[in-house]
Amino acid sequence: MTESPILRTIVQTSLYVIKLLALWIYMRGHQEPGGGFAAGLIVAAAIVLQGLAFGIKEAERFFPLPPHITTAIGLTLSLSTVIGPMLVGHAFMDHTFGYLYPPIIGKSEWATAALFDLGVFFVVVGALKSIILSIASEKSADQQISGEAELGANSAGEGEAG
Amino acid sequence: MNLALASIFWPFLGALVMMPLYPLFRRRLGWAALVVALGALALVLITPAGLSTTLPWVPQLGINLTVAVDGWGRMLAYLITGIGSLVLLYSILYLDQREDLGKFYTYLLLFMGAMLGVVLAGNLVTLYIFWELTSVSSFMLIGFWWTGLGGNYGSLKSLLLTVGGGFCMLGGILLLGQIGGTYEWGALLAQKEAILAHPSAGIALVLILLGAFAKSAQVPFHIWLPDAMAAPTPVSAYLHSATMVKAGLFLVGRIWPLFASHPYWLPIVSTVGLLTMALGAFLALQKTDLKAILALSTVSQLGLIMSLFGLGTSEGLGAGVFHLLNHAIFKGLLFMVVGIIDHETGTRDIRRLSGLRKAMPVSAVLMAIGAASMAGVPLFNGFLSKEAFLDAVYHSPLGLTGAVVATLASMLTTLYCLVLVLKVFFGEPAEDLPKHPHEAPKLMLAAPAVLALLAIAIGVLPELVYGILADATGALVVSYSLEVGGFHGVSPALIMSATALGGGALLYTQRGALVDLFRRWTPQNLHLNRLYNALWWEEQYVERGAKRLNGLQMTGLLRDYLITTFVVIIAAVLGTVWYKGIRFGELDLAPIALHEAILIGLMLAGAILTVRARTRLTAMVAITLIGMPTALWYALMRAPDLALTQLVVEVVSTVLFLVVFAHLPQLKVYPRTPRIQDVNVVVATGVGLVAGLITLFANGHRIFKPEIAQFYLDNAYKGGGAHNVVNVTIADFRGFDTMFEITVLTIAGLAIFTLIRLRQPKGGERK
Repeated sequence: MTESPILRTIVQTSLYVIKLLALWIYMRGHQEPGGGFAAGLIVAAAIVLQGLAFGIKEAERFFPLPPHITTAIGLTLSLSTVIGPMLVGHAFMDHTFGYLYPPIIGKSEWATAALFDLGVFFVVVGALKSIILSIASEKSADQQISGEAELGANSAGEGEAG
Repeated sequence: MNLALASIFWPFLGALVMMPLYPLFRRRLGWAALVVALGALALVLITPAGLSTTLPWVPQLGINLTVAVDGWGRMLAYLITGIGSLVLLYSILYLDQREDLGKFYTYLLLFMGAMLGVVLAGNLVTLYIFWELTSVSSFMLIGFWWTGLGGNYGSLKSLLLTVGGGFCMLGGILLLGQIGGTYEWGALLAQKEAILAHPSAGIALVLILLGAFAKSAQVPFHIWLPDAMAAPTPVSAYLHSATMVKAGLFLVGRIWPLFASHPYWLPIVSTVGLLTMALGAFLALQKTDLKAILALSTVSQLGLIMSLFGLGTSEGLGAGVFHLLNHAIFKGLLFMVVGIIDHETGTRDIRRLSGLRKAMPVSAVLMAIGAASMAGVPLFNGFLSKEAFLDAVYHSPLGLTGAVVATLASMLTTLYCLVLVLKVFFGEPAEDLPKHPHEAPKLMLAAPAVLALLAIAIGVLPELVYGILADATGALVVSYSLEVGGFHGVSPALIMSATALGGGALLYTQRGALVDLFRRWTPQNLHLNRLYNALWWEEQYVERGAKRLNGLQMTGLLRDYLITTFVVIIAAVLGTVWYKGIRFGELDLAPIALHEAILIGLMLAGAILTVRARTRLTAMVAITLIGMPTALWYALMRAPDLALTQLVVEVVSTVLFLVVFAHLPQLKVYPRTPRIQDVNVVVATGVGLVAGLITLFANGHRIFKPEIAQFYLDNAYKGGGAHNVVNVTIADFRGFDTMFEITVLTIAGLAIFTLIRLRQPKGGERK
């Protein structure tokens, strides 16, 4: 964690942009470069950024769900889009798509592949968040270097409680 | 809705709701489980024989969820659900309300469903899966009282032996499937002649029999059953006497129509059966724990039925089927009464128990009925099937030898039946029992009483079960006329029966001397338990061997692992190239532009810097020097998706590295001896060579024409409805890969979390 007000200010404002960016990257994944995996990685990067600027507690709060639950939700979502088709008589992993014509927005596409991708997004966010938090909140006994690389200086007690 | 499928899945469904229902029902959860079991019984009763249905599962491999109901499966299904219901009724008062009832009933219903799956399966792979599921639920139930050492020992032993046997059986099933080209039992049976003529048929048979023997506790696998008695008594009554141990017999009966005429059949099955029967009775006499006596007597009786199936004659089969039914009834009854004695007096040691007749009159009568049936006293059901057994053995190819062994074993059976009744219930009332004995509540006596009534009813009026028996046997043999019951005049079987009963009664007067003699004959050091303990329990030779083998590869040095991996890759690729004589083909290479040369130069510099780095930070920055130009390269190649992902991965991993560095000691530079250097150079060059070669080969040989890429381009919008071909490929066309990748990512995340949180600090104590 750093006390630098410059970093904190920049991070605080840029996080909104990063969140939007992740959403945008996920949404456009169906038609243009992007997708759940990249979006998940961006969120992970944002979590790291948050941790660097405000400490581990804030990083934990960045994505509202606990990491293992996020991962579980993602995996369940992906698996259900894979197994779901079997239950209604289609082949395993038979994705489908179609078009809706809601007012104002006009022709929009829906696809079960996007749900699968959303699952990927959640898994990436959850797994990486779990990794980041567990590494960062670990206070090493034989620690030699401290300072800019140490995310969790204020969370030593937490690491021990875990 | 298919009835047979429903009766398999209904108990599973019940098992699922037991845990959620536990907080609502608390100690009355047993009633809910009983309702589930009665529902299963009703479903089984209304399921007609001949019903068959197939749900495709992995049809490409011939693996289907097939249920095929026949008389043989139905008879077992009656036992599973009928005795299951009685056991559940019995368990309600048997189990203390402080026990974890939710788990108990979950496991028990899980077992019921799995066992129904075994007996109603029409596909051998389906059967195998349910088969192993019964082993798993048995493991859970034996270990239910896991705080004592016995629970752990017994559950692990039963699991290792039965699943080990099951593994052999899987081998046999796969072999049989290869021979016959199908796993559907009906289809296999139809090509009986061709299968029997196949040279591998004998191996398949032996492997399947190993599984059946292990499950039914036949010699030399019998050692797990006595230790399984660590389970609560309702479990012993249900799984380890009435149903699960019958699964092996069921399987032997199931393959009887196919293999009974195989030359291996008679010598293996009937010899093992007779040996088990004699050994079980021999060992049972030496025990002083009531449950141990019953366990070994179960071993003995299972051997009896096994030997009947092994005779290969339809009379033997019919007698075996009948005795299987009877044994389930009287042994379930005996176990329940022993459970009551244990419950009311606090001990199961026959040296301490005596004279309980006054305190527990009803239990005494019930025990006497069960014991009389097991010994084969006329007018009880056991008499009829035992007569049939002696008759079948006498008229079989085993002849006189078989008859003598059978009679002697029956004599010992009579002896321990007398011990069960006379020693425990007659004589002077014991004074120093842990609890003051009194009769069990009526509810607890109800279940054994039903079984006792059945034992007498079948004994007096065997016509009651003719229909069931004829259906069961009829499903296995073409022509068979049932002949049990009634007085046939003085036959050899009657003489053998009388000898067994009279001899047993005579021996009872001398039992002290006899048991001493038997104990002296038993070579304690050569006992199979010693072998098991050496391998898996005390000395743990298997585990230590595995560790040593593991230690050879797992040195803990990253360099060793990388060398192994890379050498294998190099050998595989170069070997294939050399062996198949692969040529480059027509290369279509673009010239290297200046900006590309610069990127390559950057990456090369990064690689060299990384290797030469003396601190982690330098290495980290140098690696970025490889990664960032790669991202740029992707962009140049018009692959924005890859470029984007690569960029983000690069950033996140760099930051993670930096975070980790805080916890790591200074980079340790390992001494670079000439030998290590040489190996490194060779392996590194080899990897570079292989990577380069593969690229050139791939460029020179466009095997799939039109190219794969074109397929994805053409179909992404048509099939996936999206313009982003990469994402359609990831999420749809090759979504299977992605699915497993995210699973791996999940596991990796959990593993890192666990490793870091549970890591041992240098002091050695766990956090």
